[in-house]
Amino acid sequence: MEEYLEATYDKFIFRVKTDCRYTKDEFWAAIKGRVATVGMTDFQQKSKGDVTILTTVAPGTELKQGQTMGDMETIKATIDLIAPVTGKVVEVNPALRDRPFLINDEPHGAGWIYRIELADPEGDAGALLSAAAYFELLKEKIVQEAKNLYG
Amino acid sequence: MQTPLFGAHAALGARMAPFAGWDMPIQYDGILAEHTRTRQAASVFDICHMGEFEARGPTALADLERLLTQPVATLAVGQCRYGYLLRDDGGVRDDLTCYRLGPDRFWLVVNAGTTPQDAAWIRQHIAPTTQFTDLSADTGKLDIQGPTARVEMEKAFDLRLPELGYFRFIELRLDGVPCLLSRTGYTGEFGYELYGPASAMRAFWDRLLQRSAIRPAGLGARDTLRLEMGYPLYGHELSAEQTPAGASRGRYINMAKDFIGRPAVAAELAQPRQWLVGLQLDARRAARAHDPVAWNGRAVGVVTSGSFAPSLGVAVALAYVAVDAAQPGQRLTILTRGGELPATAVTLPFYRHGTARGAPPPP
Repeated sequence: MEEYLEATYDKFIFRVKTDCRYTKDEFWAAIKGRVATVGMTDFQQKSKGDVTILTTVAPGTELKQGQTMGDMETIKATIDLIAPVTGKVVEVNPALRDRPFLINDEPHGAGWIYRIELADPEGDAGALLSAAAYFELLKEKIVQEAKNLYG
Repeated sequence: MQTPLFGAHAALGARMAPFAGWDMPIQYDGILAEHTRTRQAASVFDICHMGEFEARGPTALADLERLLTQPVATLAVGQCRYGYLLRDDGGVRDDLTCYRLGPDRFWLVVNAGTTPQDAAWIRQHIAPTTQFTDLSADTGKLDIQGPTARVEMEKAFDLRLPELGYFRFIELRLDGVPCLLSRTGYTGEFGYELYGPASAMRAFWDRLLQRSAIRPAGLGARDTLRLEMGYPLYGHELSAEQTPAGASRGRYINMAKDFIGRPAVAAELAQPRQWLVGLQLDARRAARAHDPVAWNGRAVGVVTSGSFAPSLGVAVALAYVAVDAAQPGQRLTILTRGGELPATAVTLPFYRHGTARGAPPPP
């Protein structure tokens, strides 16, 4: 069963999936063996609004943690996608090509963005925030960015 | 506020967002798909939020001639023309289309967010013998846009439509309901704007979707389509803070007549400071409204709209740029929060294959 930590602000609930790891740039990675599935956090997608146009890098692209891995336009902003891990893109979520707003509907599910073959699985995992650590960071951000939330 | 089609949008699973006080569909099955379909086939847009006014009577023509920048007296019955409604200081109250339904009978089609203020302003500036009616609450509008719009409209309503010139319109009955159909639009493609009773819109919408190949498109695709054509959007390229001179460069303005706001427009056209220009970016990443534009390290302008342009494969933007840096071919830099984006000033429209002006290709 999937488990989430939840932070609430006004009518918004921000969910943090407990079996993922996170970056301060608001991306998550679910690492299984040598492959990480990565996507955008629930907080980021709710803050920035519906994704309208997504630009991704091609499979085979080598990424370094912290590097830009594409960008997306939402109804409110243009946002860089920032690689949470180092490795080679092995798959781009094909469903996002026509329906980029799956990132909004299911940021931890059907809205995943890349599968990345990790150069150093253990090093990457160590460099990412645990769900609990990210959750603390999230609660601080909610206070700071409360005014920018849509609705 | 909700349009008569709110329930239809919900049933289609549209993603909604607030726009000018209305809860409007932004996208149904994705902006890229809706954009491409409008360029290649046909889409229907719910535009019921926009405002419609009627002015009639022996003094209506003279009143509108003074209120609007576009020539009114030379409009033929059955013709419409785009232009501006200005403040005394030349600031743009609205951009609008004026339809001539009869010698002394006109319609004005205005933006949603400005409808109440426009109505109040016009009422203050008309003769007692001009009857002014705000039809907005009872009038709906559907935009049917795309190269196959005519054949699909004919299929949906089981009728033959006459050849209509660009910016020409007819009054007709659809299913017995009196409507107005103009060959106009905001996408750059062949198509129509259909006006009729708000109460009939749901039936028209359902008919179009059931009996033709037309699919719905939202305000997201409407925005990328209009941006590729370089069409201004009120609140972005046009505002009360500036005259329309920089955006229009004199088009849609009849300087040979006296109209409200004329002195400021004349002064700016005589000594222009900035032009609205098209910026084609080198890559896909979009600039956004309010991003500064630089030339040789000097701030020369500001972006008013920006997006990835699906038909071009790169991002484009509209920006006000100082006249000396606004020539086509000029290389400029847009300063975004995420970094600098190189761009080239280009002649509008960005997208040059639109079917709006020409006859649609044969089916």
